Amino acid sequence: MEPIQGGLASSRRQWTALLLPGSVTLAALFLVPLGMLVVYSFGTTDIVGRPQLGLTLDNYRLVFQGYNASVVVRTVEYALVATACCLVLGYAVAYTAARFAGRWGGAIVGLVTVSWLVDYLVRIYAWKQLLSDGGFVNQTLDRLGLAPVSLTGTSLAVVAGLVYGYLPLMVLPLYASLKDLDPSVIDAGKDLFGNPRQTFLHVTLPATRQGVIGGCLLVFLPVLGDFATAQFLGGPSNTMIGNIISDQFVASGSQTFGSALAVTLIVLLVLCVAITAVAQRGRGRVTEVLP
Amino acid sequence: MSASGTFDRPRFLWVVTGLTLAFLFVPVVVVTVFSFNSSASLTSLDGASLRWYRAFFDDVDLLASLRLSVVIALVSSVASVVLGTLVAVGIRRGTRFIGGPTNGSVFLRVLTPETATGVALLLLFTQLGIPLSTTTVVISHTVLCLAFVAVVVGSRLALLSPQIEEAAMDLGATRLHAFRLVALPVLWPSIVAAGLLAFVISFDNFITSFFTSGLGVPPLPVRIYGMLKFGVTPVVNAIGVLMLVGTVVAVGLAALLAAQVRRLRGAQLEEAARG
Amino acid sequence: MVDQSAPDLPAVELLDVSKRFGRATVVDTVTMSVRRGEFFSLLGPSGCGKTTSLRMLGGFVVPDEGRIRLGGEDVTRVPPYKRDVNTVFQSYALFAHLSVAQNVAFGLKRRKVPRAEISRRVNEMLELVDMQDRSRAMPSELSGGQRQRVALARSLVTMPQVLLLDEPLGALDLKLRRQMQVELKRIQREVGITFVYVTHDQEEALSMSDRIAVMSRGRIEQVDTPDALYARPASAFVAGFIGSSNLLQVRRVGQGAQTAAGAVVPLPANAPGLPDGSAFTLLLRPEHLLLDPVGDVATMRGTITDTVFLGSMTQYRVHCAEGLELMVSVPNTSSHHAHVRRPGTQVSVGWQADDAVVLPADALRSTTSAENASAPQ
Repeated sequence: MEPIQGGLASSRRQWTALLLPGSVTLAALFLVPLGMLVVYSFGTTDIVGRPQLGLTLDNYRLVFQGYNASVVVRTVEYALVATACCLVLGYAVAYTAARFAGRWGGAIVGLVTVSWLVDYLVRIYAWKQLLSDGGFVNQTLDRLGLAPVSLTGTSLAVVAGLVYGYLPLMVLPLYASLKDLDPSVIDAGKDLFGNPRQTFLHVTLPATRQGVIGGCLLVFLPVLGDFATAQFLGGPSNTMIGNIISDQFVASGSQTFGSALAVTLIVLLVLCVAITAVAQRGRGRVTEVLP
Repeated sequence: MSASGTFDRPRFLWVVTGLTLAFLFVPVVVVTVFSFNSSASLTSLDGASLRWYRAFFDDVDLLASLRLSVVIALVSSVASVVLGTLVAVGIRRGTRFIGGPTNGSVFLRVLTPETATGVALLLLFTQLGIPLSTTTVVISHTVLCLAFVAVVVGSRLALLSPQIEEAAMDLGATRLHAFRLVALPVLWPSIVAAGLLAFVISFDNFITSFFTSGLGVPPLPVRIYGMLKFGVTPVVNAIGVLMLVGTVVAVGLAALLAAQVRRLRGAQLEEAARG
Repeated sequence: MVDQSAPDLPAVELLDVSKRFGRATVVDTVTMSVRRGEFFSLLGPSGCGKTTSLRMLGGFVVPDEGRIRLGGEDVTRVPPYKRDVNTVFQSYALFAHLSVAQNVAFGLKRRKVPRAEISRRVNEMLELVDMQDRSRAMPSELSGGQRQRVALARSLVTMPQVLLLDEPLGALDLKLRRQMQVELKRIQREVGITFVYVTHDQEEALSMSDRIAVMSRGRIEQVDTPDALYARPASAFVAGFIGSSNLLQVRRVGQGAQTAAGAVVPLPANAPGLPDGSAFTLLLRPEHLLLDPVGDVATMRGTITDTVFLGSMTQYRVHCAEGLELMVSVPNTSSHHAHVRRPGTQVSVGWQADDAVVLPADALRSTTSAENASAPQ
């Protein structure tokens, strides 16, 4: 009945052979480039700005210095605020869709998905059309006899744009985990003298923890690296890490400094995943929070 | 129900949900409505016309970018589906020695912001002296999509009992043969769905393309970026609507296939229960 | 705890309560009253409205009409978290993110009970349900029976006026279910709390309850003690649902009753004065029927079509000459053991006239209950 050990081992080898092309691709085009980022983040640039290998911390000093440090802090702030907004709005939408909407629940989630399918840049552009000084919102204000307000070039515009861009990534995992939740668990919370607020905080929210963590990671991490939103909806005082990174690599900047910034970004990412892993405390692996 | 408090009131939640959906759809509606505007104004409607769609289809450069984006999406989605499916299967069935680290890489690739991976690839290509071109974009998209395909196919594979294959092997098939005969027919709808997802990710991709495309014809999103940077034109609205329609059709197909998978699995479970 | 100030008031009262979902009336003007400290069961087939009645008691569903009182106080529109009533859910509904002890402590924490008292009462309760060794376990690590005990402890620890149980043993296997029935009854006696228990399993209801309300199609058919329900069912539905039964559609003829096929059988001495020719139903329990009786009993001739050995008794299906199918149960005493009848044997079936029960005729319902009755219990 038992398969012969040699047969099992050789079949494992066959499967591993199939795995190799993908593993090699990932290693060569994902891990190696990340490694190069780390290596060059300690490097220097020559006169024409080409990166050179080296062992200096100058790039990192630059990252945590004055203006750049404020950009790093601002990026984390924006990402935290945008994730929090996405969580609140996303939870309301997912909760309504999963618990009150009946057959319409799927339709609500479908609508959210469709809005996400509009091209990323076109969506930002649409907001620019709406918010710009001569744009739709200000025209309306004008017609109503109200003073026009400057909407673009503000933190509000950038955060709103980020919330808009990544909200659907929050709704989907939350909807999935709320759908999985046995409604009588919520009833039990109310039954045991939890008023609606307590029941939500002590029962519903912890029971959908996986969805909350998954959604927050899916929003927070890409927002950290986003640059087009700040570029088109923000002004000079709304720059994010992504903007500086892209300037270093695409405009004539320092690629080694850009590498240090990108490594900073990845360190932030690893920190988040590590915190998540600790928060999960062996209640299932971190990979399971992804949809 | 008579319970009070905002946490238990469907009406309150419906209002928030409605406002959020409006928030999500106002820009979509604006883009769609103004794509049919007859004037170049982005603030007032001056009658309906197909002027901006015509402008798009008359613009040789834009059409070239569109064609390029389709080609890139086709090539990289096919490549990533082949590699990603093999990765998903290999992680579950192969040795842990390679499967474990590969699984970790897939997970990390999905989570790492494209800005970081994009500049990392740019650094790799420039340091190796590889000129940026359509090829570098295709390669970069393939790595990106490979991870998503591996996640999608892997989650389906996790629900598939290895006993089905063992049964086929029991009947004289070799292991790979058994996989091809019994597992692949069940997996293929999710593989196609993953392929459509890869196509959409690649076709809509801006950040990775931005860092890895060269001086030639840019992919469509990179072209749009340029247009936005150097002044706005209503043609972008028309492009947005066309891309939306295209991706909705693609994702609709993917959703249909996913439903098909569920039905198939349901039928299988029934069969198992009966047998 | 039980409110001592008004000892005479019933623990639970439903007064003309109705609930509709869309067009379907799920609970139809139900009135009932549960005494303090009573083990009261709502028994009926699925869809009879018993769970909706329970959910109205718990506060999860607000009735369209009628009033609900707990200890004399009107709670019709009071939300669940302000009702001194707890529910044990069919799915247990344990909080997966909390340990066993934290689950049990949940209700006490919401009631702002001091910390030291919480830990004392949680320990007491876990001891009562025999789960003191697993207080740190997570629900996912428990077996079905253990989850059941935790759910029970969680609902009991706050000492509600009334405990509602919604088919709590439905997910357990037969052996565990038997064991838990005994446990539940013991726990109820120890804590002295009123239990309202919903089940579709007649054996469960009969073995545990002080009184049972039999429900059908949103209405209460009869409320009585288990033995009274069995001995004196008020309708063919109750007769069919509780225990197995033979139901004869008959007409009054003189001092006896005539079956559809024309056989005349005697009526019990206590039969109500029915006018000649009126239709009614005669209930005969299988264990009251005798095979080849001697002496002064009514008899019918028939052929055995089926013999099923059931351990303590043997069950026969007898096809009578009058076109009737009768189920007969005979205890497997040593004397009967020597005379087990094979299918095909000609027999006479008889009964003491007073063992028959007269039920009002309701042809529609008796057909469905006859199907119920044919299943061996």
